[in-house]
Amino acid sequence: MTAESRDVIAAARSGSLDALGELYRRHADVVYALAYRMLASREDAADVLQDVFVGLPRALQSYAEQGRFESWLKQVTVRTCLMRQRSMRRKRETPLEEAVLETRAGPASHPLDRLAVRRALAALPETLRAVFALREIEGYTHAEIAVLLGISEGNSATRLARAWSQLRKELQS
Amino acid sequence: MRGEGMAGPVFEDRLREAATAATMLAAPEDAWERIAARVRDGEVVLLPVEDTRRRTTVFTTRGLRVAGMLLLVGGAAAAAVLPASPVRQWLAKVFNANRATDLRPPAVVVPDSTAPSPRPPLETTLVLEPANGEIVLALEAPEQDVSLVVRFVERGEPELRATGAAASAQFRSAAGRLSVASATGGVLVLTIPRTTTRVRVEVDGKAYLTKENGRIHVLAPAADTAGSEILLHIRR
Repeated sequence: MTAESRDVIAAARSGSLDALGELYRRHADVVYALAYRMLASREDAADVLQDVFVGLPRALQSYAEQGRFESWLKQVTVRTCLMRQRSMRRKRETPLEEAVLETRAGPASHPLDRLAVRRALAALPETLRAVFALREIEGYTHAEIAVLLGISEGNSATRLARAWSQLRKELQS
Repeated sequence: MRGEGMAGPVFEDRLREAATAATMLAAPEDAWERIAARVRDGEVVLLPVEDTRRRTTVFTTRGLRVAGMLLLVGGAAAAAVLPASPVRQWLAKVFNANRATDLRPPAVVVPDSTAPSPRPPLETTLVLEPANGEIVLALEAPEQDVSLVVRFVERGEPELRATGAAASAQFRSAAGRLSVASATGGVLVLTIPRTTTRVRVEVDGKAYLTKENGRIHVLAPAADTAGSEILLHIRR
């Protein structure tokens, strides 16, 4: 971590809105995309994004500054998403995305349609989608997912296999 | 267009790419204004910076412990009121012995409120700088509960990510070498880009994995592979 980052983190920790804004500028897209991958809903992802950054100054009190800040922030984001999933189980909406929306990656360049992929991901049960997103998109290992989600490595692998099976069925039918 | 007709691995690669691209969204434009307004209003949001599942388990365990203690105390109290019960005799003996011999005031332990409360980090990530194209990861006296995973990726920097108890291990770095001592559990994930030419992973000085001349040799006593990952089991 650079000295500059340390300064920004220290300032955000002590309540500087400017420093918090700087952290937001650097990491908001990562947090939002991760939350979207976990929750498959822009609205929920936007709520998580807000909560994470509103709560960040206080949460930074427990940040040991030993690793990459973004890794820690992503871990906090995943846990915030899991909390939200638990509290939302009462009124689960199917958050299908309306149309092909703008992304930073530009227009689709591969044969799997993005809207179809989004729909297929959104149709996955949240327990399967979380493992799929963490493993196949975010690059976590099964061991890390097990720690993060509080499940066994075997369970993580099983969920991933089921997610793949469902996606294959959905997208290849 | 759908993925019909694609072979399994091709489909999986395509879907991985598509899923990444389809979910790579930029944060909403008005989000920062809302966040800033909430912060200015003094709103407090408590984020789950620790493992909430574990906290729940601790709570449950604590509840069971308290219930057990109450049961014991209740049972002992009930037994003590019986005139000839061994509990009553034992209490009388202890009470008399203490009165006769120990007249000193009880020691008062004042907790040191200035001492920082140890809070282990949840994750530690370290970037490794190759020396002469080589990186060495050396584990010293790790517990067998430590999971050691080596991942090979296309690009990026070599890095070590430690989660769980491993995040609190002792890390020492030198040119091209990272030593990890006193890892008592958790997961260590060593990520190696394919461009790194020489790699050595050792446990207590014994080679567990090497990469040289484009060839990977797994020398650990036990290992599992899954795709581009190798799980090395710690054995003594």
